[in-house]
Amino acid sequence: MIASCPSDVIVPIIFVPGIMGSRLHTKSSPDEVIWDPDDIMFMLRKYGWNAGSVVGPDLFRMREKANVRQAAMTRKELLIGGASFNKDYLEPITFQTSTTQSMALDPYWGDAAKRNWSSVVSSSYGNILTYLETQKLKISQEIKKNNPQFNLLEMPVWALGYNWSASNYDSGRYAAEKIKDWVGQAKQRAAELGIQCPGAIVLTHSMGGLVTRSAAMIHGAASDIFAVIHTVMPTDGAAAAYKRFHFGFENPDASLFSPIKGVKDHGGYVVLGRQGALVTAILGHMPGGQELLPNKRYKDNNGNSKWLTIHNPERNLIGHLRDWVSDVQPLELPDSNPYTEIYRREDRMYRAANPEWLFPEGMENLSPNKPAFDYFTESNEDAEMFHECVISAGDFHEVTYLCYSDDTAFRTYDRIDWKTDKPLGSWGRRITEENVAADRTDDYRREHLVWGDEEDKEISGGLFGVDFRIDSPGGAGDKTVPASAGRYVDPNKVPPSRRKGHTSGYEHEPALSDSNVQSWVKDTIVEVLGECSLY
Amino acid sequence: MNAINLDTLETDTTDWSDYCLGYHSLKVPPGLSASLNPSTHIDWHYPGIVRNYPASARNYIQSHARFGGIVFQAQVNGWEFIVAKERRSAIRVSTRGLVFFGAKKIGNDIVVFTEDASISRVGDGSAPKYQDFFRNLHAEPVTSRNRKRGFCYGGYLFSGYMPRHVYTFSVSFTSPLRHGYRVRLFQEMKVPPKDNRPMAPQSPPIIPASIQVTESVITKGGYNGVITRVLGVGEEADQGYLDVLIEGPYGDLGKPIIASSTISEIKQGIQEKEHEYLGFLARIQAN
Repeated sequence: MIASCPSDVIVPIIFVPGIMGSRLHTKSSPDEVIWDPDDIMFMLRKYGWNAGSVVGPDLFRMREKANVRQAAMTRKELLIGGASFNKDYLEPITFQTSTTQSMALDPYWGDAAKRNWSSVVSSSYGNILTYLETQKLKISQEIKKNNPQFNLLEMPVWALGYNWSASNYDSGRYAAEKIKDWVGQAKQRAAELGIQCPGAIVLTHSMGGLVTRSAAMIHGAASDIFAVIHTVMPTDGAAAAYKRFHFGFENPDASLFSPIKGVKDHGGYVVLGRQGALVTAILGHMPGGQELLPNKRYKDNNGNSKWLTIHNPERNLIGHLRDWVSDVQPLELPDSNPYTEIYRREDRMYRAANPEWLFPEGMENLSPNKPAFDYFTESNEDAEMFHECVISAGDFHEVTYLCYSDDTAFRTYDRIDWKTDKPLGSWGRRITEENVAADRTDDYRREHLVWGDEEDKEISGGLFGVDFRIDSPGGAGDKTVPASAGRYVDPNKVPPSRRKGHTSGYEHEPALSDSNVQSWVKDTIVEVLGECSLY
Repeated sequence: MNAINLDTLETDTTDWSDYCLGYHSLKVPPGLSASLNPSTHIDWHYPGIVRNYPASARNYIQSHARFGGIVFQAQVNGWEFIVAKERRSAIRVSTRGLVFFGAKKIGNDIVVFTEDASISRVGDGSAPKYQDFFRNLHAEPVTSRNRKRGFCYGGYLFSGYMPRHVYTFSVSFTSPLRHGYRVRLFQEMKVPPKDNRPMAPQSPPIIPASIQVTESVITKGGYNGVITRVLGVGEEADQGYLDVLIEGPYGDLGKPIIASSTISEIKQGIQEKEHEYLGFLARIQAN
């Protein structure tokens, strides 16, 4: 422990992206790219084309057959590589010169390719990487105000893409190796110059926060890290992830004032998957994706740990009167464990994964020796185990800062409210074990791609059947991660002074392109490096 | 619009190499090398080839990432058959999942098949029926003379077992120039049950300004398919992709569904590349 302020330092900045933020290719054939959002043509063809809808002409009605099941099957083959998850199937595209990345060049550390910028999606993260690359002098000058001897001599910015389909446990191990390697290089450089390298500052976006906590707390990279700065991290998961298993990603709001952004957002929405069937076929097998589901510690924005409610479907007068008389309460979950009480309840409509959606290639082609839902159960238990493991290992790096959007204008699923909107159809019926156990697979309705919206997504059961949909999001957040992700972090682990909820908020995916976030990141780096007691 | 008949397509394949995949022989243009995709399976048995493995088949199974401890073991027709608890990660061994491993060392290579199972269905996996797949299965290096006897995978010929339900053989042929083809040969032995799940709602055609899409009917061996061309427009004009889907009848080993696509962008000369690609598809022939 050095209690005096340092003078000359090298501090590597390592950026860890969120889910879907790393470019991926297959391990067995590195020339075969599987995920590359920087290549719009590629994404259109691989994912936009397989979106469960007919895009473009369909002269021979061949692609009309390419319904949701076919699209899900194609996507699953691309991203999962087989019937079930194989963690050796994909890996990040590393150290590759890319036409889309910045020409950032450092006299000693080389160009962007040498610092692995190709491993992350440039269209999402090029902005923050370039921003950081240009902040060294400003950061140094601001610290000098309090510590005139301070010199930030070098600040190489690295990008740490990873296989986001894998468990964050495994991604954490991969990240730890990279962090140790790069910090080792920085320390060697510092030794050559006779100066100090206190370790890396790791900046994370979204799921990258879970990867970094895994790297630091489980896989031994904590001592190579000087500080961690999390942005929009789903600390204990996000209710939106649950919703997406049922109804896909959220239909972006169309705006007459920004039609170009609207088209871009809509394209992204189609690529990501606008239906539960498309999402479940992928995330239902990916431990990494399932680790984004709310964990045992999750709370909604009001601090309630029972974040899922199934409201009584008796919506008509008689039904309400009966509710009033008998004081029927909605079903509220979980009592303590969402994995066993919600996600893995195969016999319940509110389970996380529909078995038929897990296997769009056809249940009849599965081994008779393993129930379909067991595949999901295994991945889900992996996810449960990951959260327990990282929490028991200490949870957060000891110098952790985090920021999140706390803006009610960006309505976010902080909780899930299953509701019924069919007064006649639900007349005289209430939530019972029997009717929530019904398999509603055939009744999931989707919105019209062009004219529809999120409100159209529902489970329809006919005139007299149960008819559920998830109520619109209403919590503050960034449209994906609710404010509770930052509000309810244990203050003994991340003090309130190190948490920033931006009430002038931002959306989740482009959060790091938001000027408020960029300023906060820069100011936090200044605060960390200027805090002499941390060295 | 003219249909493309692959049976009459003329392509000079003199310097193309032979490749055997599943029940089919392929001709591969020069410069492309094969990588096996993990989606390959015969019924629910997933094959793998490990080249130049220094130890025994048993040793390979016990060092496998999914091996979580032996539950049952046997020698079957020269195959090392082990029922193992499924290791999910460094921190978890499943309490319900099993993996059936069957491995054999041939020369310096390990040939292995895996199958997923659950204790709830198979108990400890010791019932003889779980060894049926291996009981008559033989493996040997593939030659031009033996390939009619079974299915090819990774340079080996497997005989003595016929798929009863389904097979998928999947391979990518790639070059360092980020060009190549992905092929999936898929067949179901029985007509699958009718899929009554709802279709996606029909939407009006949307053609992004940056691409142009054309389609042609394609025929091969009397069966129809379609080739879809996605071509860039304007600044993207030097890029394009080709997708092909040809459907054969169910239950015919030699007439699978052929799902194929070019890998990533074709830079320049797309017509010439399309001709080569069609030649490649035309030379997919049953053994």
